[in-house]
Amino acid sequence: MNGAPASRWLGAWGVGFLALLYVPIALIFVYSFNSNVVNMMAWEGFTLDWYRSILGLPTQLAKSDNYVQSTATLLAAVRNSLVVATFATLVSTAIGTATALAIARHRFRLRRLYQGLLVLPMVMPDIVLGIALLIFFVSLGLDLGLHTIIAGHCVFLSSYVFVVVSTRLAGMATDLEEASSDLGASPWVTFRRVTLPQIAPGIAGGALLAFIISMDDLVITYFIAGVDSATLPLFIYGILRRGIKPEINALAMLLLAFSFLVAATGLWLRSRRQ
Amino acid sequence: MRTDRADPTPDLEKTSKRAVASPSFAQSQTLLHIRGARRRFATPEGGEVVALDSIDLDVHANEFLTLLGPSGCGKTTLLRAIAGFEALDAGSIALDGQPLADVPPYRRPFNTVFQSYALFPHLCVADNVGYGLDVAGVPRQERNDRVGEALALVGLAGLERRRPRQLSGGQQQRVALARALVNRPRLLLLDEPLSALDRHLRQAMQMELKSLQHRVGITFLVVTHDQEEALVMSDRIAVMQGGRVQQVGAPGEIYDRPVNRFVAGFIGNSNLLSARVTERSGDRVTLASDGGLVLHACHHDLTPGDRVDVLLRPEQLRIDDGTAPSGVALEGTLETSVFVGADRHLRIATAGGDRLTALARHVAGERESRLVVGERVRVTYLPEGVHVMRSAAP
Repeated sequence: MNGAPASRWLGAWGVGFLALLYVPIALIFVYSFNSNVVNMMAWEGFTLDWYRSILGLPTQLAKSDNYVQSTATLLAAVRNSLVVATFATLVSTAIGTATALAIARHRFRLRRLYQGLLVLPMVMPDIVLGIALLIFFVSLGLDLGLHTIIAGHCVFLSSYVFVVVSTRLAGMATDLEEASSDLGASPWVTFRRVTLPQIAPGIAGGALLAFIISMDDLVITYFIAGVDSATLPLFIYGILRRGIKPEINALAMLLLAFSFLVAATGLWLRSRRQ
Repeated sequence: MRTDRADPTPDLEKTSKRAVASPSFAQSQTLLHIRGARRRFATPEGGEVVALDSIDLDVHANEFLTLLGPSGCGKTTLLRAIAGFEALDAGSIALDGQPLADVPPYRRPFNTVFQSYALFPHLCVADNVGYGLDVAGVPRQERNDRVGEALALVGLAGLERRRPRQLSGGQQQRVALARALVNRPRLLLLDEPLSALDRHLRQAMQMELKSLQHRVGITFLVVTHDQEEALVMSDRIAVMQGGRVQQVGAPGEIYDRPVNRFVAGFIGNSNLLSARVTERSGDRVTLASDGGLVLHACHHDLTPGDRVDVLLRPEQLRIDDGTAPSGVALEGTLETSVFVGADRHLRIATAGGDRLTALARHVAGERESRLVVGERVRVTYLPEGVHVMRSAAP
């Protein structure tokens, strides 16, 4: 008697929560194919014009040629994002993994402090970190550009990699490394033949997370980007200020598809390893 | 053990013979000299634990030596110090007279069988066993041959391509054994090798380890807390407690002539009594236990008044059924009678409050099994069967 209504409420709550999460995304997906030029919320017919417009292909519907100023600017932003994400991921994966190894496998003075300092950027408000980095770069006399974005991203991406790899290391028994050493392997050989294969899924997971976060970051990047170094999120933010046009739906869908692809690749790599 | 290939032992034996014939070995058969080894650990509470408190121990070439003691006695720390995983605070470990202090684990000619086995989960059985050879750069063909020999030696031929998690506990242990032996180490270190196995498998492996050691001719150093295991397998046992070696000797020697109360109590079943020497004539001494028993024993180094600990093994006590009145007699009341298969443990309380356990072979229908709890019994023993140890200073 008592349980049935309660579980009904719980079910409704669950459905409501999922709806809040996915209905907006589903709407954007539908709108991105809507041919209604005036009101994108009223369905008129199917079109691929918004996607064509983004890619600089001739269209019938998209009149505002200068909305996405030019496909070249968009592609430059995409390229900037990929360059930033790739380099920031490589550097922060190396730093994060090395630090996780040091903290997990060695006992040294101020170990706890290092650990705390490394996790701190994750909880620091983005806006504070952004301003701090801006002031830091300016006081060093650096011109803002892709290099400052990469450096800035490394600061907080290393934390994410550190946390993910640390979790994996904690699950790996230290006796494997001792066994390797016992069998005649130098520390480097032990790292290459035992430690690395064991923590590789953690490193890959951390790198993937870092890549997606870097691609996605707006607030910090906003402060430390130069004039010609707009990344994709900055670019989208820029055009949004000139009003919401149907092209934005198509762009959002492309971005979403890319993120899913990256995440799916990661999951696939992981399942293959296990 | 099953061997599909030509018997691989001669090959392994060759190595050890070469080692024995080397000049540094000619005068002494001692492989490892451990002198004054000390090691302390800081506890999280800020205190200190002494794991090794000045250990002196020699490991002889080709022997099966067991480090035996309760948990926390320092035996595992000593094993890890020999392997090179723990540094000593003081003292030295030397191999053929060469100190090992600055030699990292991967340059020591020892291999370890870990308690957890520590098999590499990402490698198959053959690659686990071949790991040491691969790292050493042994040519492919020789490497494969030796891996095959080692797996045949431990009875695992045919499982080369399995992953460790696809093996049973007993099989995993054999892989760990093969992985260590394939490198032909000077010394094989085994950390509680049988503790994860069930009772039947453990007993079978005890015999197998011993015979394996004979065949490969490699020195085995085993850490265990199981006294029965130590008695069955070892050439010599080092009994440890409180970071010290209490006694080193052959199993029989340790069983019959323990040096102190701890060793006597740790090995085998024992009746341990505190007593005082009251009289001595020749090699016969008379002792008065604190519980008021008068005991006779053989010893030629005691004077009346000395405090001693007396060990009377249960099998040295016989229930006197009146037929063969030999030895010295004691009287008491039967408190409990416990049937444990081949034997019956009889617990006897003496008038003064001492409690003694006697062992009676269980034979269907014999008098011991008909003894009733609460009955008065007479027990006899031979003075030669009483072991007397000088008490440690109070």
